[in-house]
Amino acid sequence: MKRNLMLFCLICIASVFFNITEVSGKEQMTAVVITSSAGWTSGAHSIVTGKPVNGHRSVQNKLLPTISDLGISNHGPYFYRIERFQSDNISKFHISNPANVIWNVPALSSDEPDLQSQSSNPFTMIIASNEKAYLIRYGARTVWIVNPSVSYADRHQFKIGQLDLSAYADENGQNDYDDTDGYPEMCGGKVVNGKLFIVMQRLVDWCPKESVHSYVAVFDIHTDTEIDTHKGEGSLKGIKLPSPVYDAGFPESSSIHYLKDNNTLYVSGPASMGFCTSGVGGKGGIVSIDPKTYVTTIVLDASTDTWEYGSIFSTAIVSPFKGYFVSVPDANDIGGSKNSVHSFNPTTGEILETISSLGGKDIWSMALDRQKKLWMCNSSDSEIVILDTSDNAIEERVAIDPLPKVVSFVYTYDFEAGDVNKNGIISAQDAVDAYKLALKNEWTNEQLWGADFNGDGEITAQDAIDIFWAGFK
Amino acid sequence: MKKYIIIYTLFISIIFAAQTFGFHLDVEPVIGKAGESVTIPIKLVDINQAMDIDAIGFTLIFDENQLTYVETQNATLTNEFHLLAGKELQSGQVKVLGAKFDNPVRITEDCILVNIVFTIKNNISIPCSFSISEWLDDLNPDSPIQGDFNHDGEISLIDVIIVLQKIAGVLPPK
Repeated sequence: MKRNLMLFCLICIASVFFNITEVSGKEQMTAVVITSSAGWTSGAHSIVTGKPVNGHRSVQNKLLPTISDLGISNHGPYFYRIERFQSDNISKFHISNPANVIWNVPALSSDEPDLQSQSSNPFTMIIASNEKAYLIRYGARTVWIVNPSVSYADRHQFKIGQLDLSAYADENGQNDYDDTDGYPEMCGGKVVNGKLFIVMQRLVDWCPKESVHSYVAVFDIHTDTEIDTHKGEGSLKGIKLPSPVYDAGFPESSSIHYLKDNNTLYVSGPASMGFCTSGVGGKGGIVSIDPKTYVTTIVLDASTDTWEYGSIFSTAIVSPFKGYFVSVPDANDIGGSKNSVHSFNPTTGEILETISSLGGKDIWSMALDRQKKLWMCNSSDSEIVILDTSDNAIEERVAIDPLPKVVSFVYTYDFEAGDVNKNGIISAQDAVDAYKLALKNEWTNEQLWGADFNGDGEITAQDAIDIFWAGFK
Repeated sequence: MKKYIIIYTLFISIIFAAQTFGFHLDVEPVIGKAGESVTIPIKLVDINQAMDIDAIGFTLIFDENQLTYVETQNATLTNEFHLLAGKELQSGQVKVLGAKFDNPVRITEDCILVNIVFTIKNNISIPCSFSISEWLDDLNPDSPIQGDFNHDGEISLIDVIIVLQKIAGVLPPK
């Protein structure tokens, strides 16, 4: 006891005289919410502060009203609002000035052939690094490789390449697994460990077809070449998703997840919904994918006779042992009065709890923040419901105008990327510190912000070298 | 009472240790004829405490009317550095940065940090002097991140233990 007390005293003394203080980067989270009017006639975006003050978050609504068919992506302090079907453009914003467009670029070429309804229908942008992202285009057969950091003056150089997914939508239809409508309906994806995983719904004339499964194509992000996973049919190199996960990745904003805790991808799909009455895939399911072996495992199977819930719509994965899904028993029930929200165990597939306070609500999508709070877009009551996933208690309901559809989080810090030791200067010491973090292969979000200089989501020796040279700027 | 004496003794020792880390950078003036190449050693002198160095930075200010910057070369201290470079960011000012990604170099006596090569523009008969500013990282005695002795980017209990080991003279070799 005496020894412990003495050690404590020594540490306190040393702390005072060597300025040993906890250096905090003051992470600040801001939510960007895509909104739509009730009749889908117009849309906009809203900004919600991440940290409540006196129990309440503040909101800015109806920023830059536009069409209703919108997507959202973010990287660093920037977010990208994507205007989709037959608008085909992307606007870049800085979170500190969320109504000011930095630049706007088209998401299709003027002479681009083979687009569905003459629209590339850009859905989302998957960031690989500061200078590289993949623009997922639902109405096209090619993914655009783009530079999200391009300046206003160089915005015409936004597109830097493309990936070809036409093999997944063969119009000639020689095989029963060919998606004969000519479009693979790519809808989203993730970058994991240097690989890009692209989810394709592979609908045939807008509906799932039993022999035409949803796929995940895998590309090496360093070479932009497709990896043969040996999990596809015929010459298809990608991963065939098992039945019942048809219409995979719908809605794309909350049906594709990567959980670092167990290095696992999760993809959900509702199978046949709405006017697609063929019943393929029952009510859908959730599949996990090992990003190294590409082995798929069905987590939830809603095609079984014992399934008590509706189609699996939006999903969220909190941990290997806790996830959420929205059950939609009747896709024609526009108001979602029959919907319900459930927690489940992604490892065992066990349904854990029904969130009674969210019964009968139209939860369009949901997203998990770093504090493991689940933000749910409740269009029934035009609000974001923030759920504490530790106990399923509702922390706050934030009114959004018009209806919230998708939420995305932007994280910023009060120090510059590259300033690993947060002393206000980028120098050789930051390069050394970044290198040590890369060697350790373990870091906090704050350290990642400081040391991931090329913005590829990890800290490597390349970041250390880049930071070193940034010291001369 | 004994306990308080021990704490007090260590308390005084820490203050003393903090004050005794010290050194100077020394650059000698240059003379020479037009067209000649001169190598200017940047020396680390008056070291009164062992130093572990893995990151350095400074700006050398010179008379651009008399000298043309050519390059920065490794020297005794920086021979094992993984990255070392100098850039003339403004006329008459060369910024030098160096980094060693594995174990730091331990120095206990005067040594040459880097050599900087110039060519002489016009004959210099009156010694042309240099000055150094913007001392960075391990050369910066006023680094805001004091206490990060193991340079892991964090200030933790390990750093405190290193300090206590330095005081007690039991710091193991790296």
